[in-house]
Amino acid sequence: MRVQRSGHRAPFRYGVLSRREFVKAAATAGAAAMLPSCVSPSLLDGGLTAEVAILEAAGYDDGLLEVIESGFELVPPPDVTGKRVVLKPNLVDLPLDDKPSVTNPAVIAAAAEAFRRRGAGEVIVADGPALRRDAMEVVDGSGLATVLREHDLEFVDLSTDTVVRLPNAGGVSPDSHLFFGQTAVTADVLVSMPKMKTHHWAGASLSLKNMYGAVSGVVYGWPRNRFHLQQLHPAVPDFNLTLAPDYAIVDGVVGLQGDGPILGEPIDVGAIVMGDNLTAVDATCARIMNLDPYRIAYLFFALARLGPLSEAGITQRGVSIDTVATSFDILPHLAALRPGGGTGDTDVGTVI
Amino acid sequence: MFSHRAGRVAAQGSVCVPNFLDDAIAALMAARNDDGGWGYRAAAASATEPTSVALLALEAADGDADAREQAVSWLLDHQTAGGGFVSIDGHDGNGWTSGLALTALLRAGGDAASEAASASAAWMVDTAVFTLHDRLPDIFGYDLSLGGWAWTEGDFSFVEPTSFALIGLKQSPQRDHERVAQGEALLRDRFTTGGGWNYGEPNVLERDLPTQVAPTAVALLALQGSADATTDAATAYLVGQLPTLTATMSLGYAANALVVWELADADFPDLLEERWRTGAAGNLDTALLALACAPPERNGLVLL
Repeated sequence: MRVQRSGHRAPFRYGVLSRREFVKAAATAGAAAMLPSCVSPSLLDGGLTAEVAILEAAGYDDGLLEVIESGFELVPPPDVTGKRVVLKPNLVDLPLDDKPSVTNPAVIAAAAEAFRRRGAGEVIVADGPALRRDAMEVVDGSGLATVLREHDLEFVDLSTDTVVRLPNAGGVSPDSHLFFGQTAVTADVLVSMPKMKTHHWAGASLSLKNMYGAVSGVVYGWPRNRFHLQQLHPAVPDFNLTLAPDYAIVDGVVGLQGDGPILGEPIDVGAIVMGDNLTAVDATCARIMNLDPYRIAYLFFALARLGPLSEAGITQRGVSIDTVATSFDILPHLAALRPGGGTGDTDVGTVI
Repeated sequence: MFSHRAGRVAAQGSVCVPNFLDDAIAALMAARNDDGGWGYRAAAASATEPTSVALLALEAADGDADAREQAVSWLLDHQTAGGGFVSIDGHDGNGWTSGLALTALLRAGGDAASEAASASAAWMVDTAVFTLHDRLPDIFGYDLSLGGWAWTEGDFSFVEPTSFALIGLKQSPQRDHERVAQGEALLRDRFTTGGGWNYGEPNVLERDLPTQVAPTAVALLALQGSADATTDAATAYLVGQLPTLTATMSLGYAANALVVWELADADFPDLLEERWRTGAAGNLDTALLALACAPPERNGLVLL
């Protein structure tokens, strides 16, 4: 069983606030606004560094396997020889009017083949859609079913999978234990494969938030509203500290902007973003999307525990952020997530 | 393929060919876990929803008595001290499947099952649910003050947990409790512009969200006998979805809803059988399709 053990929880102190007080305030105020200007961003990374690969990808029709293999050369995944690799895409709901709300099946297929070429013993695709109980509706309607057949891949609905009860290793949200789908927990190598998109409550939905789909729907529901009620952002680091993915591959070929996670509009980015540190991958994606990673509350909660956010702490491999930077539209209440900030209220989603 | 006419429960007769019902029941028997319950798929841990619906299917088909008895035992073993049911083996809290367990135990009968069903009904009308007194129309385009039932105890109300609770409570001594009427009011308030229901949010941030098959079907099961404009629109939506619906869990709930609302026509048996034999049906899906094939008077999702 692959579980991130709870490490020593240092008594984080930010000025006069405890970490718990700070993160609570940060969720409502916009995290970056609380940082004193004299604090070095790299100092906040807690000494953590990471490498992230950005690859250009013109479309979904061909060449994705080579793109992902190039990414593996730049930032290698764990050794998968003979191992069971679980690819966890984002299948939030049945795509509406062909909106790119889910991880494109072509990216999933390319990743599966790339891991097989590296010697993976078994590759499984697994997710628990957030907003629809019948996962097979999403699998059929997104085109994933065809890819599964063509590439001889098994799909497991993590929401209705056998559950594994794990101690909450993050402790940011109130639950002492969390219930995950067994297929994700028992993976030798777990790969988060989100769509690059905005989210009308969280700001952005990327590789860390994608782990919402690994917790049990049978236990928590569709949506897993218990965590929305207890605040959306703190649950993200809790999920990822309790069940830590080994690698991330973000589908940013065509992103979803505006009213994500399902009602937004397509935006051409032409990028695949990859790495073995999900926090750094997400920070890189945020910068590509013209969002400030420090202002996305769950990323700020992940800071120093899960990975770095600072530009100095993240070595960009492949092409530069500027090469693929594409400003995503965001809803007005999220204006504070832009670099330099704004007047948006990022806490609107914590009402429920 | 399907005609649309609002109505009540079909009066008599199985709607499916005998071989399909027999094969579906045989598949269920083969997929049973050693603990007497059913998981959502082969080799998965037993869970309350597939076990409850499988029990209903076995009851409807007059299936294996030992299997029915063991399914009842599995449910009793997964009832909490408070009266609700855990949603899956390994979980330890009252869950949203309690209404389905209540329904199955009432149909199974017997002293222990009836006692457990009464405790479950009492828990359901007492259990807390999160509501807000204020409307927030710019954010949530529905009434936040209405309480139904939640996925997890004390949380916000959603369509499917509310529907399952109503299906169970309406067959229990608590059928006239005020929360039943509140739950029905919540379902009608959460109706989508698409002509049915989704998971429970018809409008967010002033944008309409799409209608979905399974929530529409279970809401129609919960509202059976209460025909109005919403149920007319919802049955029409389901009828329109069926020709292209390949996902068998959604199809299973839709099939039962259409049986309840007397919309199963002559092509219905062939469609269910074809989708079941060619699809990747899990245990819940198989149990739902088998149940839809049973004579309506033996179908536990049809209110007595």
